[in-house]
Amino acid sequence: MSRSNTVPLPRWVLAGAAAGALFLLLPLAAVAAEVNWAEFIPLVTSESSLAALSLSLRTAAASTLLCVLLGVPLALVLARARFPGKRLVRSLVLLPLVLPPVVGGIALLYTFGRQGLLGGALEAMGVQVAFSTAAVVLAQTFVALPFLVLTLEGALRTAGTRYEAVAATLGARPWTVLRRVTVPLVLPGLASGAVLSFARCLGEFGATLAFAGSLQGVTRTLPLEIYLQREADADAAVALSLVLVLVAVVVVGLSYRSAPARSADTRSAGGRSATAGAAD
Amino acid sequence: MGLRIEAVLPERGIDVRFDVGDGETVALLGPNGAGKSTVVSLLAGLVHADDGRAELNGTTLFHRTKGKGMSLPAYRRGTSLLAQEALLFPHLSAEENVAFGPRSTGVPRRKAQAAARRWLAEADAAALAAKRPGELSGGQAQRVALARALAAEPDLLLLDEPMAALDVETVPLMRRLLKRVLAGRSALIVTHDVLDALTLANRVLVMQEGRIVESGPPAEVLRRPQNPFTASLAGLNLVRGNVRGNRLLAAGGLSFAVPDAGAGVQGVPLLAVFPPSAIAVRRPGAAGTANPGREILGVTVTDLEPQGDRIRVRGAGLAADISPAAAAELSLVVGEEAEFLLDASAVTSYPASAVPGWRTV
Repeated sequence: MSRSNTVPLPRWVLAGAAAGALFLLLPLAAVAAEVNWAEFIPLVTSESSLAALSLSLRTAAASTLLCVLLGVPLALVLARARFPGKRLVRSLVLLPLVLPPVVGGIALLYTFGRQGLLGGALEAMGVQVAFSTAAVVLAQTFVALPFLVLTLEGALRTAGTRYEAVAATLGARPWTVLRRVTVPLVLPGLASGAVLSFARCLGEFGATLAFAGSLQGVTRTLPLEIYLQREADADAAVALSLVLVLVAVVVVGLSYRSAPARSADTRSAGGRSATAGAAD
Repeated sequence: MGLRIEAVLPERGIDVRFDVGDGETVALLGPNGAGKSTVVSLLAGLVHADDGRAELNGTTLFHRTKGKGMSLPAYRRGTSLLAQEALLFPHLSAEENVAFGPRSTGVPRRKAQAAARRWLAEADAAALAAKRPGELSGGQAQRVALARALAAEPDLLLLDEPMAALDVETVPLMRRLLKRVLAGRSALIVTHDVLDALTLANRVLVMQEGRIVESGPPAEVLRRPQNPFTASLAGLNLVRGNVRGNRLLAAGGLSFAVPDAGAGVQGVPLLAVFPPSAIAVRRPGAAGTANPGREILGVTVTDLEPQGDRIRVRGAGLAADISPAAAAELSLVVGEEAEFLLDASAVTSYPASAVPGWRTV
């Protein structure tokens, strides 16, 4: 796979690549340069910062779990089942990728909010979703789910159905095939999909603000806290931004570190679709 | 008992009926695109027939009319499939791969492991038990895959060109192994290698354009081929024509004396076969000496190709094998006229027949 190109790239491509990399890295360096290092620890360990960080990690973890629970069946159906209108369903599932998050938040409000589609039913059951931590989880799941579905569907397509067919002729029932063949084969794809979803959840802002509001310790996640502090306490905002950058670096590092351990068959699956997901 | 199948699948041009006796190994031969693999998929439950039915040891595999009806899912058919590629599950060891079938049908872990070891030994792969598929060579992987297919204890073993992807050196070993394990086992083996049919099968079916066109014991089918594909497998020239007197008249104006002209049935075409070595080649009108017992056939040379240590000259749908020295002397060019001298004593003739896939009981 790491065969070097025998035909060299044109120089202007290299120049463009350098400009692109610089464009992505320079703002991060600017943030790091702006950090008030003397006050860094107190700033990121203040009560409101810790509350936001903890809330972000907890909700992102819960949302990722929800993404896996909902996304795995969805990806399986999109990759394996045949039904009319499948293209349309796939486009709709991927809609949150291109939808402005704030629109997603408003859509969620009109679904789960008190005046929303399901609001009456939920209220009758004594559940109020909007402006609660549950709303944060729903908003994050809404925007992150397509990342998992897209990555996993790509992995499933690359893995193909031949192993599954062999397993069936050996007497394995569909559930056994799924558990012992399909899922193990796409595990690297599932892992990178989950990591991407987690990262997207962590960065969620628009949908959360619109649907869950900004209550300290309840719905105010790290990005919301940063936005709030931006005017009141710029040093705090910068310090917290750096924390988010570091978390993102760790997440990306984790998802790429697992690459060499992947089997030859599925390496390209996970890698390719992860890139596709990230590009979207 | 055994397998009995009748299936029509117009989408893929399939219309077959044949059976496989209990303990019988049947080879399914045919050119590329004849539909052999589709037949295997129909039996394995990976493709569904529009019309037809199949029964295996008294169990109905499918019974369908106009695309509707019952079709047993693949996992309940008892038809393990060994394909061209081993397709070992990459995340499991060789032993776990072999134990997969028994485990899937509810055999406890310990017993499945013991069975896996037994089948690995049966397939000369006991030493590979702990290996991952990525560490195996093509031949080793295929042996493990064979053990895996056998471990599922199928009522019918399906082999879809099991040796086509192997190195030339490993094929004889695999063929010997298959000969041993297939003895007394109901199996259908798809192949385009005539040697597989001869060594492994009790009976061969020849498939062409989705239909079974010939059926019988390998030696019989190869001695009396009914169509050009089978004749080419047998390495014979096949001419189809009508009898006039003691001569066979074929389309294209070819005509020569046949030994059993009288054996022909009225209204049924006669087939004549002879090996390419029974034809000598000369330039037209060269040294007009009579060749007693030789028929002179005027042809246009359509192809020249090396064939082992001989040169194969094609013309009028016939193949003649001559020595390189003779070829050099003739220095024929494609498109030129030539005369094929056929040794009439090497010709065998018999009536054409419509052969279904059923065994002749």
